[in-house]
Amino acid sequence: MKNSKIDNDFLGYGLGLRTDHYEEILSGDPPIDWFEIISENYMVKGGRQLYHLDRIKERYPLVMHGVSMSIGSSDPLNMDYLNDLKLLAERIKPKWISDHLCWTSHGGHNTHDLMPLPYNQETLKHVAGRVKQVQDFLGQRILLENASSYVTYKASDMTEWEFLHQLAEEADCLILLDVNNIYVSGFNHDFDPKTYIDYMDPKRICQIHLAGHENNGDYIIDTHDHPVIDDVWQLYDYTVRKLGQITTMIERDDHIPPLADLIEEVKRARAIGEGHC
Amino acid sequence: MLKDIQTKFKAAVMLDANDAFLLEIEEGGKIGPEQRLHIYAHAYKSRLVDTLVEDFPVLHSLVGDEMFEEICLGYIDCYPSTHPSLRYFGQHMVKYLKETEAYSNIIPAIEMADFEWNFNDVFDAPDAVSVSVEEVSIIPAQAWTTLRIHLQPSFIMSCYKWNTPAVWSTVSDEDDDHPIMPEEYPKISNCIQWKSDLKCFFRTVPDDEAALLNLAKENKSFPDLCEQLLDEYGEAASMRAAELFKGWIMEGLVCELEYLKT
Repeated sequence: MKNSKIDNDFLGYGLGLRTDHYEEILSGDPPIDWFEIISENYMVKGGRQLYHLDRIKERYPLVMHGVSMSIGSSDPLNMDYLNDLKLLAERIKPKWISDHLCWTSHGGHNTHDLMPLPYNQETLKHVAGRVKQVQDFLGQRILLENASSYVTYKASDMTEWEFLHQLAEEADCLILLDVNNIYVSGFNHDFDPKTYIDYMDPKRICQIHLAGHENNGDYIIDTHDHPVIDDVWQLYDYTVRKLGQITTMIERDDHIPPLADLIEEVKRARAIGEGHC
Repeated sequence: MLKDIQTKFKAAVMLDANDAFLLEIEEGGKIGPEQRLHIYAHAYKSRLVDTLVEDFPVLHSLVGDEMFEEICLGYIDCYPSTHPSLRYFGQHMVKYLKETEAYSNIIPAIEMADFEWNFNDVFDAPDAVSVSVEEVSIIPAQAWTTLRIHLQPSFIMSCYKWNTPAVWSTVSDEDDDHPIMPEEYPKISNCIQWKSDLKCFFRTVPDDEAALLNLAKENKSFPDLCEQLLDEYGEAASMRAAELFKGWIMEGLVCELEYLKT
C-alpha cells in the first residue's frame, strides 16, 4: 500500500458543497463530478443539513474535509471528535477524509483557525505519530492539506514543502495540495510557488484545491471569497503539467455566488486538467 | 518546544499577550511580525463574533450594535471555544449574560438569548417522523389506559417572564416594519419549541398543557395526564387531555405512541 494512492482515486472535477446550492443540485443535474463537504457541518444528530447530504450522496461521490482535527496540536488527540468523524464517514462513505497540516486547539481551547506549525524534526515526529494514530482509528489513510500561513517560526529548520513531503513518507499519508494556499504563502513568505510544486511527489497527491483570496498589497489573506485569480490558474496549469491529472475542486466559503458561476470555474479546471492528459 | 510555541501563540491570539510570541516569529518580508500576528488575532475574534451574530440575530437587534459587540467581546474572553465545531460556541451565552453585572438585569436580552439558542438545538436534534392522525385512529379503546406519548427529540419547553417569543417573531419578520417592543407578561408564560418534518416551530402554551407536556416527557401514561387535569376540569379532564393530544398530533409534536396491543 505504501507509495500508492487510494484505489480509483481520480474523481474528476468537483466543488465544495454549500447549503445555498442544495436545492439546485438536487433539482437539476449540474455538471460536477463530485462534492467535498466540510465534515464539522454534518457532525450533528439531525436536521436539514444531514437530510440533504443523504440525498446528495445517492447521486454524487463525496469526500470529507475537516477543519478541526488539530493534527499538529500538543494536546492529546480529541477522541470524541474522531469518533464523530468516524460515525459520519460510516454514514456517507466518502472516497477519502482530509484535514489540514496545522493546529487548531491548544490547552482545551479551539482557535477555529488553521495555525501554522514550526517545521523541524520534533514537530515531524510528533505529527507523524498522530497521523498514524488517526489512520489506525479511522481504518484508512487521510489527506493533509497545506494551509495558508502568515508567520514563519525561528524554530523552523526546513521548508513547508520539505516538511509535508517527509510527513507523507513517514506517516504514509496522502496530500491535498491547495494550489491557492501555495500561492498565498509564497507571496506572504517570499518563496517561488513553483519550488513547492516541484518538490511534491505525484504519488502522494490525491486532491487539489483551488480558491480565491484577498490581496491587501503587502500580504494576502486566504479568504475563499473570490473567484480563482489568473495567477493561481497558471500555477494550477503548471501543477498539472508537473504532477499529472489530479482530482480537483473549487473551494468557496464566503460570498457564495450562484452555482452557475462556480460551475464555470469547475469547467475551467477541467479544461486545464484534461488539456494535459 | 512545540507546546511552548503553541502556548505563546494562543496567549497572543486570545489574550493579546504578544511579547513572548513575537520573539518566535522570523523577521523579513513585506510586513513585520506584529502585523503577521495581528492577522491571526483579528481572524480569531472576527470569526467568533460572526458566529455569535449568526446565532443571536434578534438579541443583536434588541440591544443594538454597540452593546452586542461588547457582549460578544466579553463572551469571547470569558468562554473561549472548547468544542471543535463553532456550532457550540454560543452555548454559554445565557449564563454569561446572567452572571455579568452589566447585563444581568436585562431580562428580555437574557430570555432572547435562551430562545434563540434553543432553536439551534432544535434545528440539529435527531429527526423523527411525526405520528399521523391515522396511527391515533387505530389505537384500540382498551389500549388508551396504557398509552404513553413520546414527544419529538427536538422538543424544548421554557418559561419566559417577557413576551420573548412574540418579539422574536416580529423582529425576525423582515416584512414587519413595526416590530413589537419587549413587555413583561403579567405572569410567567410557557413556550415550546420543536422540529417536525425538518421545520422548526414554537408557540406559547397554557399552564395545564405545559403540565401535561412535562408528564409526557417523564414517560407518564395517558391516564396520568388525565389525572393531572382532574382538579381543574373534573369530569371533563379526559376530554381536555384528548383535545390537547389531538393538537399535538396535528402539530407534529409526537414521534411515537407506545401502548399494549393486547
